[in-house]
Amino acid sequence: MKQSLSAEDIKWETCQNIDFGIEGRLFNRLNFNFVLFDKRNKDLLFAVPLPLSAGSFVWGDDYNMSIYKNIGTISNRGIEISLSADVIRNRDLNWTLSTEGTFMKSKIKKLPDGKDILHGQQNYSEGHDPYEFYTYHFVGVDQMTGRSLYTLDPEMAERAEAAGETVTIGDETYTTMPGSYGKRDWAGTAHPWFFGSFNSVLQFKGFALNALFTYSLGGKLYDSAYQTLMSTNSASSASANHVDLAKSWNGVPAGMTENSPNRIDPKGLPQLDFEYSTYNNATSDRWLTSASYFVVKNISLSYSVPKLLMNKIGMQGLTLTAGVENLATFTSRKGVNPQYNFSGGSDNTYVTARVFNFGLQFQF
Amino acid sequence: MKNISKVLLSGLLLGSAMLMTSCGEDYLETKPTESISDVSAIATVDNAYKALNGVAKTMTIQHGNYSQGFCGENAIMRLYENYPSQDYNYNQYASGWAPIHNQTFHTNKSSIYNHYAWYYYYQIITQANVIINRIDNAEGSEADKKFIKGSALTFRAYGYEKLLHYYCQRWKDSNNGSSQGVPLRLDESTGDLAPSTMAEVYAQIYKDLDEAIKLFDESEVDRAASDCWTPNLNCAHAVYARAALYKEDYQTALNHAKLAEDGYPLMSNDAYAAGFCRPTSEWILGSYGSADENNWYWSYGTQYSCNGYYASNSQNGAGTIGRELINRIPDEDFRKSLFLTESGLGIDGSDPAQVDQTYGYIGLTAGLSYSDVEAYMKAYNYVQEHAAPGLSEPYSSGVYHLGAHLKFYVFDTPGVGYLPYIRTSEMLLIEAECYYFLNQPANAQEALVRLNAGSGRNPGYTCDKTGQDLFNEIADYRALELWGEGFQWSDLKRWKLPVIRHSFAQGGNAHAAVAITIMPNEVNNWVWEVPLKETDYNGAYKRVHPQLL
Repeated sequence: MKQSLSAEDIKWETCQNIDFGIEGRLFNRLNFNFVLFDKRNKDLLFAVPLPLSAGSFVWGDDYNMSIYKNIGTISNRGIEISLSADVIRNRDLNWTLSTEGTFMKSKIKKLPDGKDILHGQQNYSEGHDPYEFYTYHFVGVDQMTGRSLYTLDPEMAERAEAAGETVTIGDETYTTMPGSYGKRDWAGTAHPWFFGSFNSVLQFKGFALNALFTYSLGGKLYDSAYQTLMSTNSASSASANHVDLAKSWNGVPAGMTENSPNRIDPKGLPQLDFEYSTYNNATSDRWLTSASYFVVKNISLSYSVPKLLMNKIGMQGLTLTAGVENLATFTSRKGVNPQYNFSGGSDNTYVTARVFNFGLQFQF
Repeated sequence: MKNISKVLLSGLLLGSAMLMTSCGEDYLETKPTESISDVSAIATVDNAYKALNGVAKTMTIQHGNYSQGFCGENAIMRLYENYPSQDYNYNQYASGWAPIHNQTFHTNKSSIYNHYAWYYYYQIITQANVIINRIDNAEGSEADKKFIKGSALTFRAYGYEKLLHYYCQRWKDSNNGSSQGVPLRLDESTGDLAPSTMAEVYAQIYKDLDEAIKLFDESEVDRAASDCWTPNLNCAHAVYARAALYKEDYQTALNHAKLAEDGYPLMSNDAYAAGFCRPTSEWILGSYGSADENNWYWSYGTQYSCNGYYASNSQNGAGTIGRELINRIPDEDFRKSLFLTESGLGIDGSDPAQVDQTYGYIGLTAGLSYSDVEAYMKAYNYVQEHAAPGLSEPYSSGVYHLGAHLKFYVFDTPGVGYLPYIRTSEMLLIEAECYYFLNQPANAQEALVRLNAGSGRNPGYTCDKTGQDLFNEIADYRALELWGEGFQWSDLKRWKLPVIRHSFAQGGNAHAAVAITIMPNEVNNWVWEVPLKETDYNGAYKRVHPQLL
């Protein structure tokens, strides 16, 4: 049984990095740091998938076998900004605010023979972000039938019609079976365009209040957990469903006709149905959710008892702390965890836990 | 601004493009530690036998990523042949599995049900290719090398023959073989390869088998009698007969079917009733099964044997035979006694109390409470009387279906047993069919008589039917003899006949969700689309017109 193929021609990857930065302090209160970076990786090693007819090994990550090749060049460019300001600076009261963030764009510069490499729901393609989604396009729910409609692949149009799996509305023809007759297209990237954090440190006499917030803007993730919860595939075994299903299509809305301009509802939910769920809730860009998030990462309050008081009872110092990590996470949908991975995937895992901590620190 | 000039620091970092030279050309040279290189796999005859054994093992091993139930050939039998056929029912899950029973996944190119057969047969083919291309240079006796090469060639032909069943048009619709076949991979290449036409694939199958037969003859080595999983001369003839039959090349099929029989006499009734879990005198090809190579819940017997895991622990049953088919078979036929039939038990299948009209439970309601104790006891007693000796009790869960079988057993939990793939009985049926299509009805009748009477299965059987009646007779006995062994869908496809299933209300015993008619020109003309996992990575497919017929 073939386990893996020898990769006779692989060589080392190379990395080219150019940074340009300015760092400084203004008005004796504001620290700043700007860095422009451009990092290029050449001859990236990648496991290029092979067609199934070449043989495969299905006890690994994928059905297709793959062979390692130095396939291409990728560029990561961006700006890192970091600012820190001493807003208030007194004997008793100090307040520092700081923020940092990164704008970043990645692009695949070169692939062997310029050919796209499909992997999962994404596609490596010259000129595109490496984590860009390439999948079927969900157009909306047909309000006359409750079926989900997808963009039709023109090459399969004739066979789709013969199979009765098309719907023509106005000038456009759509399909109800994306896996068989749908057309895949670019659907946005998993990469955020800006991510960072900001931090506040407030000190008043013996008290200190720290707050850290992290955030990310942009990017998409594929919410497979939501897809599963919205599907009703099996009549013979039950599984959990999402409350959103209560809003499923329940009949032709009053006044809707075949020619109504709003016949397709892009935000609609298809009819609840065992037989068609696999098509109505098929893999498509319907399940791509914004990966933006905002986390109240860490809030902590500490109090140092004045030294004079402590010396009276024979100790050098006492500090009390109380804090909470991950106090609140705001995401596009409850239960989604964009911090799960880089590439826009998701899994049935717990979201980050909220942690309360209390502490006493004695100094002798 | 004094501050700025005082403190402004310009950090100018110019990273040079660092050329990392390797620590020597051969630093990256490593040999695998968990496997052996293909060169050494076929370096000696001993190793080559192991590699050949590996191909056989592929037919009965858990194919990991596909999940439970995909254990080599058993998944083909179950998903591609039994479920979508006419006379095989599995009512318990019929509503959930309706897409497979009703053949609606043919065009779903990303589904595992679409690409499993493609992956699996190419797995066999590419492994055989490694052996075929390197065995001539191996160390060892010429006789052994010839046997191994012949065996590998037979495996390759078997794989291509099966691929044509699923991913290509039936021969009648192929415009004499000019429609799209599959990529003919005959070496160890891994890149783009355009699909050949069906005629070209058949030509290669014939060529491989001709060479295999020649090598087997010259070699004079044969497999050990108990090694039913290694193809030998008879197996090459059998695969040849099958390929020719599907190609409607009837004279060729006839010749090879006769040669395949030689040395593999039909089994006795005792052997027939012993459970189809160990090789008998007529097994030409099968796969090994034993507790020390347990495939656990992935095996065929787990779900489809009358004493396997599901039959012992649930109300699912293990598959039932089409009621109308079995009722056409004479009561004296030994094979009929291996099924729970209305005449065998003395019950009336149209009485809802005696047989539940949704799932087919005998004497029980759909909720599994007694609806007719007398009918239930008839089934119970029948099963006790007819249980195969020496094996654990059939249907120990106590739920009996109309049409339930006592054909397939296992001899260890949850589903351990050998599985048959090619038997002599199939060869006789091929002969009968070929004679029929060659317009020699007398010879066709004689072949049927040899199969049914000569074997002892129905000693009083005679046949004087001709024309359409004779064809129907052949089709019926093919469906009965090879029931559950994964043949009927391909048969109906190549005969260009529909699948017609009837619910209990309509006189059949299929669940309502699958009681439909599927015409030969529906469901993508009974052709599975080439999987995306092939076309996405095989550029040659984009260059071939997708609608090439």
